[in-house]
Amino acid sequence: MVGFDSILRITGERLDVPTSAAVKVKDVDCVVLNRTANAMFCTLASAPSTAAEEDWNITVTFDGFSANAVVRGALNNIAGFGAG
Amino acid sequence: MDGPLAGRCSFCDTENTCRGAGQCSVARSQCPAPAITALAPAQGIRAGGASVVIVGNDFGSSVNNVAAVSVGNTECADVIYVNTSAIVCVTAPCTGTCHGNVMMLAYGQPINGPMFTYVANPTVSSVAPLTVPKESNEV
Repeated sequence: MVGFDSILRITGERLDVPTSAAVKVKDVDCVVLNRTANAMFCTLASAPSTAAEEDWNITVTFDGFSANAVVRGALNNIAGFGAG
Repeated sequence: MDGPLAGRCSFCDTENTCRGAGQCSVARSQCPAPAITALAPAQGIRAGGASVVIVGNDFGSSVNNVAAVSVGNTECADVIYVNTSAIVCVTAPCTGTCHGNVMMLAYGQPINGPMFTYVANPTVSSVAPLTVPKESNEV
């Protein structure tokens, strides 16, 4: 794969408390590699189907809680996270 | 077996564990009293959904032998029976005190164990690398 960043670093607080964590980038699972209180890493199994300029929806789910973010494809702009 | 022990497992001296009646070569007439010895993890998020493993003795032969399982002053949303020494509590969302001992009824007898505490939900502040894939599946 060319031009494909398969590792994502997600930062925050209390990320290691939940018993489960799952990340989805648009329509593709991002497999969680490890977690600490303030950071977690995941790897994309494949490239999400998208156009370059399209917004990317990222959903992080912890146990019964989820947070959502939108990343704009070419602008690399995080619109912000919100509780789901 | 009659009386309050009816339907309960036997205590196998040789294996040092409770099993179903007739499943061990040397069995006592009754198991040790039900008890909770540990739980993990000892904290979970307020949103619930955590799988908390509760470990102890003589939880019975099915989920029907335990009832009213709670952690952190909140009754579990679901209880999964593993074996006579372990069950899993799937936590429910907590809005009250959110702090308290694990408690349950085993054969109708109340028992409790270590403390469980709900903590604030995680917060997510950023994703990196911020370079979003612009090309995909191109070799």
